[in-house]
Amino acid sequence: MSVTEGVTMLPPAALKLRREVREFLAGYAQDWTTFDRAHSWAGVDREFSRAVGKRGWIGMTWPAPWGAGRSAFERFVLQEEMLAAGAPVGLHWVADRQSGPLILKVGTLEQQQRYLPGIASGDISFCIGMSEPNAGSDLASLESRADRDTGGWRLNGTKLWTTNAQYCQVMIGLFRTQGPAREMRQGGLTQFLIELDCPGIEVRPIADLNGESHFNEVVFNDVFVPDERVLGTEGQGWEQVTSELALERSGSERFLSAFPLVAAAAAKFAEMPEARIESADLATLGALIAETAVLRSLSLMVAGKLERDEDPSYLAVITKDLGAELEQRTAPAVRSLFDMPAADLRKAIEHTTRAAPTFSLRGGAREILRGITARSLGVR
Amino acid sequence: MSISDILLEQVVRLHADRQNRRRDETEECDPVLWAKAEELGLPLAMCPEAAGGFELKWSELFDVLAHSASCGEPAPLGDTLVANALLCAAGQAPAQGPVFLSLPSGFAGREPGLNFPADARVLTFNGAAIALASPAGDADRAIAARPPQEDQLILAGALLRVVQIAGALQGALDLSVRYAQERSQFGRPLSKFQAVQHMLAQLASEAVATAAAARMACARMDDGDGSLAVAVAKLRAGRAVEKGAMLAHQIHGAIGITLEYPLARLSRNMWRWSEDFGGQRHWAVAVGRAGLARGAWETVIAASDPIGASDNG
Repeated sequence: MSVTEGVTMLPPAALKLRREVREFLAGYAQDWTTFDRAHSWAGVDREFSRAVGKRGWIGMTWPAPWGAGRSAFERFVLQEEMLAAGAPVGLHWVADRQSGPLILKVGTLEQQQRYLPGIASGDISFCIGMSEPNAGSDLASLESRADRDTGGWRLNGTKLWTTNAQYCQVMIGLFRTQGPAREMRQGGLTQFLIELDCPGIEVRPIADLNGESHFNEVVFNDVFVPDERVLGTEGQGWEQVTSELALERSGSERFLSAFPLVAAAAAKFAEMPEARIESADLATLGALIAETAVLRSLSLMVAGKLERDEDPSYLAVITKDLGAELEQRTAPAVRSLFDMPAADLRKAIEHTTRAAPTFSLRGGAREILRGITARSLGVR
Repeated sequence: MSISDILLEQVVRLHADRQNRRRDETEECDPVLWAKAEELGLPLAMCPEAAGGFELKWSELFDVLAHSASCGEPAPLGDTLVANALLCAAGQAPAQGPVFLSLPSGFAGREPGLNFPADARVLTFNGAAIALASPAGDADRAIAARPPQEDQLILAGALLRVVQIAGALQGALDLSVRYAQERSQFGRPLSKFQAVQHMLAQLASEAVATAAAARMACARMDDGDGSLAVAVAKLRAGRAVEKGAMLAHQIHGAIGITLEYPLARLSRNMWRWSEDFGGQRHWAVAVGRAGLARGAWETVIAASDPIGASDNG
């Protein structure tokens, strides 16, 4: 029974912050439709990101001078309030969650000075260059190369499924600095800070089945990157990426992506006279709310581990696997509550239905996560 | 070492000693184990010191209760602990000997002769107060409105079942992992098949989610207001039973359904416990009502915010 642990109390500062975030969001929320909210952290709004940065809410856990050194629980509360409200956080989400912390951990002082202030102000967005046409879940088979050149490196290859690359200024890309893939596998990989306006980079948005373009293909054609843009240690890319992925899997975005639908449905029912509400529908809503609450408890345990510098990966992987499953059940469950939902809710349900397949793909496919859990159980 | 750590250590040893004996698998109270539990003072663990107890809280007893359930709850330790706590809280003397929790019919409880021995003593609500009774004298009674004492019994009973389900799922997981490693087919252990690994991972996820929900509910109950957290946890535990029991049996193949294999007792207990003190529909409607009254997100926070953090402005 030792996997879960006693419940940690939220610090008073986190409760105060929740009120501040709600006041802040109230100034924007009236303009967001249910359809807007259903975009959750896929929503993109530079002005909004800058306003969040202005409040000191991007990189808030980073130490001075980059951040305010606030606790993991404060960040947890900030993030969940943003997601529950369906705020368009897409442009600062990735850098706040993983790129910034990675630069803090393994970056040079020059790199920190160059990027962290822009991230914290909401001006600089980061994307993650890992997947490739022939390296998805099997990331170790990636083939994009970085070859030595005078004073730096030449990058060639293609990154695929790069979220929001068309809006980002910088990619942290994983490239092979020793090859070939079939011999080196996890060895010989290096991370680079790549500024996407370099000559030789082409970003091609990929239309998805929602008619939107969140994913991109990013092609590198002899792109020169100077030595000082190597992130961390040459050849240690795999280890760095692994610690980055733990951050990618631990947050409340892994179970709240479809929550704006639940909130909207509950609000609609609250307007109805009680006699008209069937108990089966109350039960459906209750089950969705209860499962969300339990995932939040799990996620808080992960935040507690992060705050204490413990390894959260086992709990994080389970939270993400269960969270994706709940997110994927949400749109049909909410749809079942109405003969015909109001137009805005109907549009939001349709959007979430079409986005749902990605919930169990991004940040580690379901099968990969279950393999990691099986390894923790000692059967792999 | 805290008193709850000491108790846990002794409870683990106690169950290990009795693990391999031959017994009637439908037996509800192992007399030897019960006698030793009484020597340790376990039945009074939640009672005040004045009544001879340790005044332990739910959170402090989580591991003890879950462990006993993970071993199949060979004696009604959890039931008696909670019954005695409720009796003490009502100003009555704790019971002598094992007690089973029950409720008047009309609300999901346990049926004498089916869920426990016909001659057992039960803690129930007699219309005016909680009381010890023999099931034979327990009249069929419809309840209009429930008085506070009965609500307490329902809430405490539901929370006990949640903690026990968390334990039983962990027990089922441990058995499943071991079986998958020992049993070979097609020339390799079951645990080497990816399909089996993924079932084990899903079972582990259900066990972990239930344990997290149970711990949260324990903390909230200790803090004085457990009703919403218990509702959420009972609901989640019930869902985990639906999925978890099937997964454990699928991993085990036919051996799992034999009465003598320990999984049988675990799954029978889990299925029964998910019915006790309100089934899925009862608690889902309760959480749904809360969601309409407070808003969905407020309800999520209210059910899962750590203790002392109820001030959400």
